[in-house]
Amino acid sequence: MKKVILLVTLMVLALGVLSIAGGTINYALVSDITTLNIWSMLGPNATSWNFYVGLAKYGSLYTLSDVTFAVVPSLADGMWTPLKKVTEDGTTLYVTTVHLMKGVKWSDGTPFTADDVVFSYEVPFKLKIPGNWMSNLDPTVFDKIVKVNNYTVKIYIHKLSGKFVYGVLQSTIVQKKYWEPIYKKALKQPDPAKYMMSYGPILDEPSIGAFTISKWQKGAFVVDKAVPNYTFRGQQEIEYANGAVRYVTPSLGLDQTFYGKAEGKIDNKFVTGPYVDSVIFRIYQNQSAAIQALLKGTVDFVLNPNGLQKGFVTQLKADPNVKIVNNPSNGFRYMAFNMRRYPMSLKAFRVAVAYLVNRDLLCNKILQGVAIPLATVVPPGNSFWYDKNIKPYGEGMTTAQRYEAAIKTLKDAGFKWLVEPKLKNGQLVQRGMGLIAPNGKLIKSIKMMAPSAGYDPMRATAALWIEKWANDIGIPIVADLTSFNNIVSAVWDQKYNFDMYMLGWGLTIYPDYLRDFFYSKNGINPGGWNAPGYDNPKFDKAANEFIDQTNMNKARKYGYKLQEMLARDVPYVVLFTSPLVEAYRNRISFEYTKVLDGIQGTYGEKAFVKIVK
Amino acid sequence: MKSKENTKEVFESPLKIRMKLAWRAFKENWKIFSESKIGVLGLWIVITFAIAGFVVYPILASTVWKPTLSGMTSYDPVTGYDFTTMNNPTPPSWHHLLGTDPLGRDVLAQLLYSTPREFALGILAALITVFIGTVIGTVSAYYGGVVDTFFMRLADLVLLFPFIPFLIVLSGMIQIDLLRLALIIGLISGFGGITIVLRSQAMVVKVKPFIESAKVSGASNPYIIVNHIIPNVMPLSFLYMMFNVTGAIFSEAVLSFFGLLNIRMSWGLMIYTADTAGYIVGGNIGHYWWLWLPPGAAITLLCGAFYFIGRGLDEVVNPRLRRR
Amino acid sequence: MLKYIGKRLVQIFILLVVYVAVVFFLLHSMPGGIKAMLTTNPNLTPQARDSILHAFGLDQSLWVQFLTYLKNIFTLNLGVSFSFYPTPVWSIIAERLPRTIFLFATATLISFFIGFSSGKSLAWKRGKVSEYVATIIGVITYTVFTPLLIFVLIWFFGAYLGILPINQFLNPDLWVNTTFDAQTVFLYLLLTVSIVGAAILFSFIVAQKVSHRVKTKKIILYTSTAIASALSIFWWAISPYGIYGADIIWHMVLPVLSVAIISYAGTMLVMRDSMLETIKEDFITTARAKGLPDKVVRDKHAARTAMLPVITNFVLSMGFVVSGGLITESLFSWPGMGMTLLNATLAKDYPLASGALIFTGIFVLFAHLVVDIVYAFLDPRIRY
Repeated sequence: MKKVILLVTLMVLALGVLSIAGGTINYALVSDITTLNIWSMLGPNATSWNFYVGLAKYGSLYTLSDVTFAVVPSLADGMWTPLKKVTEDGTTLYVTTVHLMKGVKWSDGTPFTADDVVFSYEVPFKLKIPGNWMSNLDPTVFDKIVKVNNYTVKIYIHKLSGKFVYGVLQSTIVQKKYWEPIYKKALKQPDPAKYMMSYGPILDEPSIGAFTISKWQKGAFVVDKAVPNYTFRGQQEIEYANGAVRYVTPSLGLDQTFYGKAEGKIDNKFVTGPYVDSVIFRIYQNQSAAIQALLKGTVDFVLNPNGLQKGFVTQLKADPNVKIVNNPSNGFRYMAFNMRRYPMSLKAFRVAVAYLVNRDLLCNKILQGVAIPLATVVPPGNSFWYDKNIKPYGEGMTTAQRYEAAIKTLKDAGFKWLVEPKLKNGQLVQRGMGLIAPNGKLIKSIKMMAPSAGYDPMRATAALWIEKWANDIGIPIVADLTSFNNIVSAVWDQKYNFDMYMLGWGLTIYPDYLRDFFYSKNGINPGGWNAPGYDNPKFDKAANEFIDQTNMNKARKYGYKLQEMLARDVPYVVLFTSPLVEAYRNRISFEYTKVLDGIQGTYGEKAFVKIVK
Repeated sequence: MKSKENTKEVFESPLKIRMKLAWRAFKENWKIFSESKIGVLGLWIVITFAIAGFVVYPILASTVWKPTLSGMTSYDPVTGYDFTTMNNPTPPSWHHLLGTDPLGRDVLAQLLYSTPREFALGILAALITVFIGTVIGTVSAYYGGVVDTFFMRLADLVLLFPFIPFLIVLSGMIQIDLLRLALIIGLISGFGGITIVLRSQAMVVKVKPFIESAKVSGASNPYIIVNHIIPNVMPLSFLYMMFNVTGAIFSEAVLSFFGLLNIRMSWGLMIYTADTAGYIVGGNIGHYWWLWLPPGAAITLLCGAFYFIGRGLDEVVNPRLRRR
Repeated sequence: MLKYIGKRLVQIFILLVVYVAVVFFLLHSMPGGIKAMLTTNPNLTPQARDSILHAFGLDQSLWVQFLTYLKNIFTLNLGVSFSFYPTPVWSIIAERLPRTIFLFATATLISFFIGFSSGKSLAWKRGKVSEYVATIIGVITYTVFTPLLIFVLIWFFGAYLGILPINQFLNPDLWVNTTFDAQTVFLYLLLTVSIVGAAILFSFIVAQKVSHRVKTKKIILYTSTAIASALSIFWWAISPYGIYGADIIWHMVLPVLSVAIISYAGTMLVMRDSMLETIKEDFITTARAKGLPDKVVRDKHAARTAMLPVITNFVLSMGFVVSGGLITESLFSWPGMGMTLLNATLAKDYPLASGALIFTGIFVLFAHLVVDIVYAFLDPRIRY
């Protein structure tokens, strides 16, 4: 009875909210979109811009909760059943059963069923559509999907892996009714995948999300229209401090809680909209133009995966009608050693260099806060996976102390100098010269490739500073500021032809990159992820354990272990991450603004955004 | 007319005579040039820049801007910083006469550091252009026929060549630094309009009586081209060199502005840095003027100055333009 | 006349082939060139890679490749863009070319007329203060660093005064309920401009043939121009596209202004020099001696003769205008060819970048041809 009363009150509340809804908001895109076709969008054309505009139309079985990034059901009804081992035709497979939500409708009124799910998994898998499709439905993990009845499917996988949770279960779902005739036609083409990817324009494709695309004026704007019969309109998402996530869906009469009991302090509470009639995405060709539009009030929010640069922020702060939010981005800039070469293969050498990198000075003083110091491979913002106990080399030390620690490390490992560096009263009084490796040979020069200032002034500056610090104590590092493509080409195309380089990674929430970036086998063939050539059997073992877990709590323990080993052996010296600064006009409001990767990471919170003025 | 002078001073060495003649011609031409106010203005601007870049910067860099081992401020144009200023970019002050850029580097140091490089780029590119243009122009005019037709059609093409778009696409494929840029610009524009102009000038020279007499006295064709025709088209070559300097500096600035060049510092890159950091938008344009005005003005002034000199020389080279 | 045009066509065709050859061999001899890029692009499926390799003929010898490429260009098969995969390059170019052509046709015509008339009066005022001032301003706008000028224009008209749109080529609020493409409107606009232009040219020729009296010629010319313009305005007014065409033109004001400011001075300076030379000719002295008014001597006698090098210079500056246009497009968010070329290069989309480069060249060559033909009609001294 209580529940019914609660539901009724919630529905009244939801209706109340909806009655004040309406209107049009304008978002700015800083680059043109290239496609609205989902096969292409999650294939070769996976750009942020396409995602901002297009992805809201589609569904998935499971998704990540807002803000906390926990894996929660989306179109699935409850969690998947534990994986069971089965043997089919002599091969071992693992199978799980997923129940689907009943009563969910596409925007054209067609009910969502298991047929849609099976179709959406089979088509990209059979056609081998590249990009996100292939990484979600990785053939080494995914085997097949079978329809049991209209609201139940069975998914078979080859091996236990975290990719099952973060890939297979979160693959995108499209409508079978719309795409089946096109797929049949595609099969008759010489290149069916290309046919599917180039099919369009697809403005008539039904949506299962809160929005559908109603117009695309190429080079100028795209319009997303709210779906009037959106099934999840009015859904409540309640996140508790104890980690529990509760979903109350009035339209389907559901009230579900995951990850513990719905009790105690509530951290977040969101009610799904949409609260606006349409979102117009205006396409600008450069950031300045978009900012001018924001200042003028032509647009309400600027979507940009890189956030705003310092100068724009200064300008926008002066406008009382503009709100600015600052979030860390999920990624890092790092320096890698080629551990296949001497002396980078010596741990002491790498540790000495790691000691020298004064992130605090670099980020807060030299780069004036445009970079956030980061010393671990998993950023603290990814709180579920981040290991708080890691201490990077030289943390809290002054520059002089760092010099001392580095010199000591080198000396202890048997390095010598022609002219030894000397420090007196915390000042460097004699620069080191002619570093001699423990094997008795003079180290001539170590080339460190880094992007030039034109591509990334932050990394260019960092590289030159690290060059200076290293040279001060006699390590002959030479910063080679070159183009991004030259670095990529030297590192990956020319079979790891480098001493050291400096690049960056954008990361995913699930840190499977811990294994990808450092697994020994990934550093043998040209083009592998493991560019440093880190080769540690213990690490490999732990990495395999980590990746094979489908229980994320167990996986986390292995994840911590990996992070510790990496912090000790330093194949990478992680340098910093960039903050993601965003701005919106106070005409609109978002449900939340504090989130890793910012509002743009949610593709603009379209289902939550409201007009308040 | 110059051959007449030779008879008077037969006993002096030919080199000395040449020097004297050159000096006299220079003095005459200088008089004409100095009448052109615009040309003299251009020359002054160029001299000012040259002094700033080749004299002032090295002196400053080795004295007041000299880095110290544990200094608080570095005036290095690429890796400079200033710990005494908290919030970069800072407006002009006594420590930084033109302020600092978004990364805390001294704008004046960047400006001066880039100056000799811009000169080197412009002059190298122009020299290559003029060298190729002069050789091809005179050879085409002298020999005529197929050679002539070929090079003239080629020049037609180069004239219509979408130069900057081409450089942009090229920059995506190879790393373009200043030296390469100078070579590319010099090579391509060497086959362009300059050959047409120099060819027509050489055609005029070719039919002069002294060429005929040289031929009669048994001089070889290359000898005549090098010793008689080229010296006579040289003034025009020099004029075109000025315009090419402008073109090369401008191209560099545009490519740097789009962040397509592989260089450590240049005027175009300074504007690029300010633009991508968001300081050239809306009210910031007026507020952070020191980030874009000095490099922008430097590009404009130096390009303009060489152009001015070119126009001044035009009056020397094309006597028909002179005021009567 | 036809023979002359035919001859020019053949010449332009040869130039085009040479141009394509230059671009082709340069792009293919580069270390990071098309082939290397294709074989290392991870986004492409093996079939796609093979089909592009085949489309470019990269599996054959360089000469065969070149001939195939040439053939492909004339059949508009430029391969498939990487960044817009699997959209063909040609369809992207077809979408953006009209925007660029319309912007530049307008801007160059305006800058030519400003340059022509100001150069004319400059020469006449030789030695006066106004000449110096105008020359200095001209030289400054001619040598000013283009992005700088545009920043200032954007700030002044767009932000400070706030009267002109600054950063798109249309207003989405107006277009949101339309059912047609902006491209259609661009094509209609282009069509209108060419029809009106052709009508003016035609009436000019008719006027030349019909009468020798200046007054009659003028009347014929002006009336027909007025009728052509009125008809086209009327057509736009009654057509459903009217307001949308006007919207595009309104958004074009600032970009056109920029291109015009950048490029008018070239014409002006050449016109001034050319006029200075003409003034010294005997027939001008005669005309003045006859007691004809200064304005008549200037416009009727001197200006017409002085036009020859100006038009030559104008043709030659096309390449320069296109380069300047690239900056204009990128700073004004005008998604035309220059923008495409720049973005394609930054995205390492070689098929699109080289396709855009080739079409930029074709555009310039074509403009060259058009100006040549118009010129042949205008200048009675050219004999065929």
